[in-house]
Amino acid sequence: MANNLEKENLAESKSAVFDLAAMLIGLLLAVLILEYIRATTLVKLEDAALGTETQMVYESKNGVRVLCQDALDVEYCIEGFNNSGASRSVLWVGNSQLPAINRYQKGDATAPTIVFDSISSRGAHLVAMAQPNGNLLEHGIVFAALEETIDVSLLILPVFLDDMREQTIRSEISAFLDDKSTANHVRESLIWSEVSGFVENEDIERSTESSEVSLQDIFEPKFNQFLGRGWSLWLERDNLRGTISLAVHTLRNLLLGIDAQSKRLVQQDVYESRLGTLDAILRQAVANDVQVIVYIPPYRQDIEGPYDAQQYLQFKQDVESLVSKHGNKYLNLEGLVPGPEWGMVVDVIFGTSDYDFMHFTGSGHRRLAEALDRELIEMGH
Amino acid sequence: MLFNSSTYLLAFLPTVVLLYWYSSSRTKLWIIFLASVIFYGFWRFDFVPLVLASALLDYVLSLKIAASSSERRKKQLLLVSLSINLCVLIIFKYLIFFSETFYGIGSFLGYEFTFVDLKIILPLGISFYIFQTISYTFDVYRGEIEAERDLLKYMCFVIFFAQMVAGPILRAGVLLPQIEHRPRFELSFLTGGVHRILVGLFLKVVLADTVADYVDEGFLRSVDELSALDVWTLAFLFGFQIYFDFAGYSHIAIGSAQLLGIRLPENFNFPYISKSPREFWQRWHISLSTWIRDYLYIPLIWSVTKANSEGSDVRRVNLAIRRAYALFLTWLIMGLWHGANWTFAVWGLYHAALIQGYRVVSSYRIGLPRLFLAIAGGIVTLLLSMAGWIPFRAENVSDAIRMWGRLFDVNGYSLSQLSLAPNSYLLAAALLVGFLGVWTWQEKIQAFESLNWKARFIPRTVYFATLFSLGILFLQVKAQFIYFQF
Repeated sequence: MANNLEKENLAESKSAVFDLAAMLIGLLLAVLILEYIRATTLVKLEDAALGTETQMVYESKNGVRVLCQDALDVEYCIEGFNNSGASRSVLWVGNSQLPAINRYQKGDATAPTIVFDSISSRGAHLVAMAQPNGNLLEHGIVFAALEETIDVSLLILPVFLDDMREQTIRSEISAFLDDKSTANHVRESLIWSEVSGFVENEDIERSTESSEVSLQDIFEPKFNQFLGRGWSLWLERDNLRGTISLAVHTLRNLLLGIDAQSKRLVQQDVYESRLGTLDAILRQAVANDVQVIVYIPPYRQDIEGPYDAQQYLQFKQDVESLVSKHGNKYLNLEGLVPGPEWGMVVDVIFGTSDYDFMHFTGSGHRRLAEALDRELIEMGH
Repeated sequence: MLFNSSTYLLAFLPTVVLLYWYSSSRTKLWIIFLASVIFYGFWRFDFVPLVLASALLDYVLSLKIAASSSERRKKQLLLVSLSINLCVLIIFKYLIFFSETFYGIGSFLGYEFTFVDLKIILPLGISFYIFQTISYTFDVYRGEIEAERDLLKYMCFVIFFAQMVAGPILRAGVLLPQIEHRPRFELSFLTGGVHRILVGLFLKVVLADTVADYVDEGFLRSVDELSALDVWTLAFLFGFQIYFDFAGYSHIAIGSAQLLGIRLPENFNFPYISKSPREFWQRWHISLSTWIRDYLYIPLIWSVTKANSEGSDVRRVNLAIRRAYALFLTWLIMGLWHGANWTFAVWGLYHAALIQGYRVVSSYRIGLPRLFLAIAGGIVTLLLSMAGWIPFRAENVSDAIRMWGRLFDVNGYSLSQLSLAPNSYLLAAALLVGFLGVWTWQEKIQAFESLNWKARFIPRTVYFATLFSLGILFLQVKAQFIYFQF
């Protein structure tokens, strides 16, 4: 019996030794795998959605930033306005369609830059705020936050059908509320009732978190920095996670046959809420004597797109009706950009390509700029 | 200190383990004690005295109980311990809740009170360590264990960092002997411990934290926007989130203790394959449910039924009613233990109703095929347990009841009514299939474990490579463990 026990103990010890060996080799393999992924596949996530053919162009003209993204870089655009000598500004809000150029060639400029040049020659100043995937809720905050700061006289607002499904406000936009006087102005605006449910909790969380800082909160980031100095991948794990998430998302789409042309219906109750948001933005503009150009953005016409035809038609009618009700300018630019001037999204990981229904070439930007500039001239800007 | 942090896993734990095994016998205890103080202090050092004082109180009272020969005196001392411990728990955990309820009732009745804004911080792990010390005192009172005279050993039992903030709730009879007889180092402590930690990390940072985003988004929606299928999806998602979160924590706790040669009891055993509500609670948070059974439910049953142990049909009905009363009272307390909110009370009472219902229904099972009972029981229990998570997660009782109401809306089972992010449904389905798959395969996994090391080596290496990759990649303090708030 004692012999059997000894044999058992020996077997257990052997097993533990080989478990340890498997663990150590497994750890080494894990490091190698992650390093391999970092070396071959790591993508800049903010560019991943655009694909390899399209790039973001945040330009400056004569040292003045034309396009900014969010609360984190808006100071550059505000500085530009302050230095311009203009008494009032035109504010153009939007999403990645404004700064992104497909198949960029030297000399191409974004639509906001072209309009900036044009109205500058007429003594006016353009500020363009374009957060990738920006939506109506976020545009509302940006408008309310900036309307006094840069004395907005005219708001250019594209409204996509995609905007009507969105229900989030990202931290880079709610960060506008970090400034007390801006926050007060936004809270007092007609837009606040539409957006408060999406930002209030974040504000509260930020203020309560700052009063309950533990030793771990202080030590953990410093320790991670220390680990990152020894192994640089440690600090790139965010990006790696994002890359893997993107790959999983792409594979999911491939497996389920989801592509850019797949129909995505907008839920009616969310749609109604976003119409309410648009209404609030227009009412705020009217209340503060701000003119508004609302436009239906260019939408590729030569192939079947992701919008349900009936829903899209209803959407355009609803937007036009709402804009007219407030006496603002409505433009339908859906057919502005011809097929060849639209891009393809080439996946940054797998290299597969799909139609891009959002971004177009430099020529498309020129058409958009010209269409809006005509209206601006008509409206006295 | 959070388990899912670089600080704990890459600094604190390796340091403690190395110091522990390179130290002499008595020094080991000091290491556990000081490490536990530091571990707790990383949250708030100013609350360390509260933990130590609470532990010291029961140390002193238990010694007095053990020394006393008078049954009456023993009982008095036990009551003193219970009263003080429960007062501490009530003040820190329930005072705001009770005052809000009081003001709410007053307001409903037309009385206006000036609301005093109480700023009370809930000490981390208070529900766990208070229950642990209460059980210790009870066990000494009942003569099940001897009172520990060594203060250092006793403190190590109460504030052992691996389990003090979120369990498993340990009986003194389980942990004290292991602290007393510290084993010699074995390599299996290291490999077993690291393995458990990796598994726990996977459950928490890969699964639970991923699911959490969808749960948070879904529960932010207005209830009016949710269809029946949406509510079921959220119920399943949260059911899996809390399971992975808490089971993940438990694995890390067990693994951390194993690195020191200490064996903690299992806290979960595939709860979602239970075939009855009773079985569910034999598989979910096992340490809490057994604690509640041994220190609350059984004493309560005994006290409400002792006068009715035999007799007529009327007495038998009375007995059944009293047992049901004990069941519902126990579960009300169990619910409120989880949180100072009426949603938790509703959750507790819901589970009491399930168990009571099972008691009634189970008497009618005779004659039905076993396989049918197993499958039907499994499906019904799964659906009912998942639905039970709705009040646990909902913001308030009204939302919880309205969400439950949605489950009875026949129109809400149409696919055209879906309103959550599409991935929510895919994720819920994938998790359910994955969970059932792991449970189905566990026998094969166990058979694999019994093969010799040569056969296991390569698959095991790949397995560890996967766990390490995911652990390294996903390790971040995205969210603390759900049960830390209790």
